[in-house]
Amino acid sequence: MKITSIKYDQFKGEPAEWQLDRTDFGDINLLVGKNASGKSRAMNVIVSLSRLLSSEVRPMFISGTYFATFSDKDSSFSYEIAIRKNKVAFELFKRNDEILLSREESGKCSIRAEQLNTTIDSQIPTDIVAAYSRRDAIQHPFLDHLFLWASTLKYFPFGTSMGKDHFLTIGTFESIVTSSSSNGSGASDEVTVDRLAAHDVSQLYARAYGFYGDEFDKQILKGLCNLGYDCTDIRLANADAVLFPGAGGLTALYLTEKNVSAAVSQFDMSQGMFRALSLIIHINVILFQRKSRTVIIDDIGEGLDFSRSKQFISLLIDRSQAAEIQLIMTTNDRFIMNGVSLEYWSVLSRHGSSVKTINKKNSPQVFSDFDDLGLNNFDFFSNNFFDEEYKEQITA
Amino acid sequence: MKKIAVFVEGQTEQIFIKKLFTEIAGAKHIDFNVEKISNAVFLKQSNQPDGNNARIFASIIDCSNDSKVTAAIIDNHASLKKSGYELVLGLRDLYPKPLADLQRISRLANSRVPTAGLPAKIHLAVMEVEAWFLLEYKHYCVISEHLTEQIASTISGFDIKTGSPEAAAHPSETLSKIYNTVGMGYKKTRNQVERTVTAMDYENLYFDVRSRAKHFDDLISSFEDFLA
Repeated sequence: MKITSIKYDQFKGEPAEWQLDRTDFGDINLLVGKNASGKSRAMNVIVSLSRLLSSEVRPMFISGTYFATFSDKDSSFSYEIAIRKNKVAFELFKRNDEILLSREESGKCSIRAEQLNTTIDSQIPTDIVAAYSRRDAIQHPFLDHLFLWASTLKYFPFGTSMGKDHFLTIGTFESIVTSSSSNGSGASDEVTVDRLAAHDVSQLYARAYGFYGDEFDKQILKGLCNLGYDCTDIRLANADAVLFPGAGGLTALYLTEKNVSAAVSQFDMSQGMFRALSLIIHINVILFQRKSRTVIIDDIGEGLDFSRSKQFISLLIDRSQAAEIQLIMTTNDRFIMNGVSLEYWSVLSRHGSSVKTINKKNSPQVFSDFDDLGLNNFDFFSNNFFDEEYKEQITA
Repeated sequence: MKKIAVFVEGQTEQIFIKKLFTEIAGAKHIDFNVEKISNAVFLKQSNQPDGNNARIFASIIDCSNDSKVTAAIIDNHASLKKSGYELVLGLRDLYPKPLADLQRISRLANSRVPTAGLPAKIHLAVMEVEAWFLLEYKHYCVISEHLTEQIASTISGFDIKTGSPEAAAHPSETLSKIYNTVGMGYKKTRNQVERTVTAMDYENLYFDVRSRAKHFDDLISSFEDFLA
C-alpha cells in the first residue's frame, strides 16, 4: 500500500495554527520549497501518522487532524484521525466508500467484522488509536494494510549526520554476528531491522552483512562506485585507533578506496560521503528485503557535490521504480531539482500558517507553460513560476 | 574578430550548425570552439586554433547533458557579453510538442532570454532539425546509390522536393525509416549524423530548403545579419 495524499492541521483557530493543504503523492515524489516553507514539517506529519498507526507512540499532539488517502492494487482507502488534548477525538477508515471503522470522542467504536459479515461496537480507551489496537487478521484484516504501511515506512533525514557519530559497541556487534551465524537467515529479524533509525547504520550494516553476506557488500560498493567513490572494501572494525583515548569497545565502518592503502573510518570520512554511504546501506537493505514500502528522504543532496547529487538521484529513482518503493524526497538543491522530472515535483509554499502544494496534478497548465519556456527545472523554483501573478506576467 | 555563441539541444544540432556556418561564412573566415555543458562545466570538444586570421569566431555549445538551451543562455549571457560576443543564438526542437503549440512556444521561448547589451534569440526547428535534412533531397543518393528521392517521398508520405518541414511529425524517425530501406540506420550517433551532414548539398539547403522551411530561413537570416 502507498500513501496517495495527506492533509493536516493543528491548533485550528489559535495563534499556533498550522496547516498543510492536501498534498498528493505518486510513486516518485520530490517536494521542493524555500527554507521554512514546510517541507520537513510535511514529512514529519507523514512520519508521525505512521507512528500513530504502528503504535510506537501514543497521540503526541495536543491538537491535530490528519486526513490521508492510500491505495493498493485493488482499492483506495482513506483514514482520518483527530487528536485533541492527547486524546483521540475522531477516527474514520474507509475502503472506497465503505466505512470500515468509525470512532467517536467517547471511545465508542464501530468496526466492520469481515468473517461475521457485520459491524460490531466496542469501547476503547480514549488515548488509544483504534486502527492500531483493533487489528485482527480474521475479523479486521483491512487494518493490517494500514499497519503494514506504517510499520515499514522508512525516514531518512539526509541533512543530519545519518549515523556518522553513532558507533556500535563490540558487545552488540558480537551478539549480532553470533545470532546471524546460528540463525542463518534474516527473516526473523526483519522487524528489528525495520525499527532501526537512520543513525543506526552501523548496526544495520552488521545485521545486513550477517543476513546477506558478501553479496550485500558487493552492492554497497557498486552503489558507491556509481557515485564516483571507487572503493574496494567495506567493513566494521574496532574503532580504538580513530576515536578519542579511552573510548574503547566501539566499532566503526571503514571504507578502503582504490589505490589507497589505509582504510578510512566513518570518523574521518567527509559528511557528504558518509551520508551517501549510510543511505546506500539503508536502501540496499530495503532492496534485499524485497518488500514494497514508503521511503522518505528529507533534504536529499545536502552535502553532496553537483555531480554526485545528479548521479545519486538517478540511482535512487531507478532502484525505487524497480523495487516498487514509493519514494518521497524533499530538497532545495539545484542539481537534484534539475535531475528530477517535473512530473514528480510538488512545490510547497507557505502563506502565513498555511502550506499549499502545486504539482502537475492540481496545476497542469502551470507546468505545461513552464515546459514551453525551455528552462531548467530549478528555474521553476527559483523564478517563483508556481506563483500565479508571476506566471500571468510571463505568459501574457 | 566577431564572436557568436550558439547553444544547441544536442550533438546533432552541434555538428550541423558547425557545417552550416562553415558553408555560409567560408572555411577560411570562421573559427570554432565546440563545447558541451556537463555538470555545469564547459567541456571543450574541439577548438580550431586561431591561426588563419578568421574574422568570425563561433562557439557552439551542446547543452544536452545537464541544461536546457534557454536556461544555458540565461546562465551565460553576462559572461559572454563580458567576453565580447556580439550575438547569442539558441536552437531548440519543437518535438515532442504538437505543431499547434508552435506560435505559443516560439513566443514563450524568447520571453525569458536576456538581450540587454548582447542580442540573443531562440530559433525553433520544426519539428526537429532532421526535418531540414529530410527536405534536402540530393543527399539520399550520396548516402546510398540505391536510395532514391522517390523512396524517400514514399516513406515520408509527402513529396520531399516540394513539401514543407511541418509535413513530418517525427522527422528523425522518418529519416531512419528511409535509410533502413537500404540497410542503413539513423539513431543520432556521431558517425551517423556526420555521414548525413557531410552528404548534404548545402547549395540546395541554402536556396531550396530555406525557401520551404521558414524557421530554417530565420536561423540563416540571423547568422547572415551577424555576418553583415
